[in-house]
Amino acid sequence: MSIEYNNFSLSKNEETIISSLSLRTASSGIIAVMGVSGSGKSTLLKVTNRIIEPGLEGWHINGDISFRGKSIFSPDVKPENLRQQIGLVLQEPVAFRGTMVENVAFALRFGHLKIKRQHANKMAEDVLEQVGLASEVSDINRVKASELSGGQLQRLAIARAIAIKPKVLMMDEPTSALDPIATESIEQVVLQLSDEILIVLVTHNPSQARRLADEALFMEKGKSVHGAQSIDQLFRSSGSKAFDQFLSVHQQ
Amino acid sequence: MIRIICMCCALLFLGLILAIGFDLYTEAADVFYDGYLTDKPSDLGTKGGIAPIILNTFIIVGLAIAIAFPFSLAAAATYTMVLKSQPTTLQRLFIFLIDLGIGIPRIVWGLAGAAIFSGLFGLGFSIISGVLTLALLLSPILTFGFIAGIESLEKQLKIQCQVLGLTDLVTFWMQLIPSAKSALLTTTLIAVGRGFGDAAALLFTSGIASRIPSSILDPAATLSVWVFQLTTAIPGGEKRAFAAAFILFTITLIIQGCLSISNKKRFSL
Repeated sequence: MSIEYNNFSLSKNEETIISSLSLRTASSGIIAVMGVSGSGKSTLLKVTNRIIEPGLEGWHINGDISFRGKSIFSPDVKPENLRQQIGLVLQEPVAFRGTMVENVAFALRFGHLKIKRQHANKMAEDVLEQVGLASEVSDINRVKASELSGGQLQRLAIARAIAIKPKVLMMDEPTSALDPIATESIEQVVLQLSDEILIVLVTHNPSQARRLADEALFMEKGKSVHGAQSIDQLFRSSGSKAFDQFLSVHQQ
Repeated sequence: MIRIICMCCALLFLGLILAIGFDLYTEAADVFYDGYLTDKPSDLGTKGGIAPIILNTFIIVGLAIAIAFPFSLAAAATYTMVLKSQPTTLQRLFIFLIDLGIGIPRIVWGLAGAAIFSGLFGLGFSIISGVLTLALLLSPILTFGFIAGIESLEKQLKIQCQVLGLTDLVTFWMQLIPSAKSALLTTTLIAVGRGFGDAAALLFTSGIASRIPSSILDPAATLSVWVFQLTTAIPGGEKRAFAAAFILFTITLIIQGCLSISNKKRFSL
């Protein structure tokens, strides 16, 4: 279930955001996407999930992105169906109305799976157990999602995303605003998920990339500096001035 | 200092409202009697109560809101879920039309309603003609308020639903609308208040009949039209107009009270 970027470029109102990206991901494991702010990391995730839609709001693409051997921009690919296959956890998740279980069950019931309430709630409880929230919160059937802490809400967002069983899960800096304990619990969930599906993890944190990722991509001004490399290779012999600067800033 | 000025302004405004209420009541005190709210008017409104007028007001405003509400909600949905991702020209045109609808004087709405519904459609002076005119007048107000309420939460919540593969329809009905319900209620109460107070749009469309209607094709006066009628066309009707105006004033106060409670809940979230 790999994603393939074929000389892919994205621009908005003539301004290039992603430039000539060519990359083929593995079908499982973790690929880290690093880069400074404004390098196009989050935009890459959004266009892959088709939250950014070519032709609308000034967005324009060149090249292609393929998933399961088919262009994701093909007219017969519905964005809703694609998003179920390629999930996205946003940097700042928002709680839906209702309890934690209702939050996770929502997409199961009203998305394309159309699972009945009782069954959806049971599935939601299992997923909340998987991300460690069921044991941490007193009653997941009573506690409102809006009452959760930042780290818990982030894990709830991951639970919502994995409940619909995507083949790829993209995560946009999921631990950027969290304390070390919450970060560790999310990293555990990510590692556990990576056995079955591909995780694309956008992170500002090189140490986190090194801890978790199998491969990494470093982006600068919309371009991939190295292409995807194994994480050890990237850190051992970067040779890129931009990546060395990025590392030194984070080591300070 | 600023707090004192604000308090003085608030007290002044409250005093002004109380003075209006007191003035209306004292002018109309002789008119009120035990059956004033339950009796029919007689002698062209110079005697009797105003029961049919109150009933007509609730029927016309209620039906107008019932028509305008879903129409405006659909317009707000179209704007927030469809037009927001379209070229800005379309968005601007939509907002321009809404602003224009709010800005058009009510008397113009009344004349347009009379020409279209009463004249062209042959509905004459009737409740339905008034209802349709009032619904048209209230729709831009409702749409504007709905869009403002939904837009305050739309972007984050919409993207959050989209990334889970949920359709725009599910996102709008099952997340945005329930989350924006206080804003929708507030806007609806503002529109109800506007409907109760409107005479210009209904004078030419629903007519001035003071009896209980037997169908929506009958003419029927609302409270504001009745006040206008008593002051301008009925000799000796001034005191009666003050009495009807006092009832209208009281209903408006009740609606505003509901609005305050709704806003209190909204801002305490």
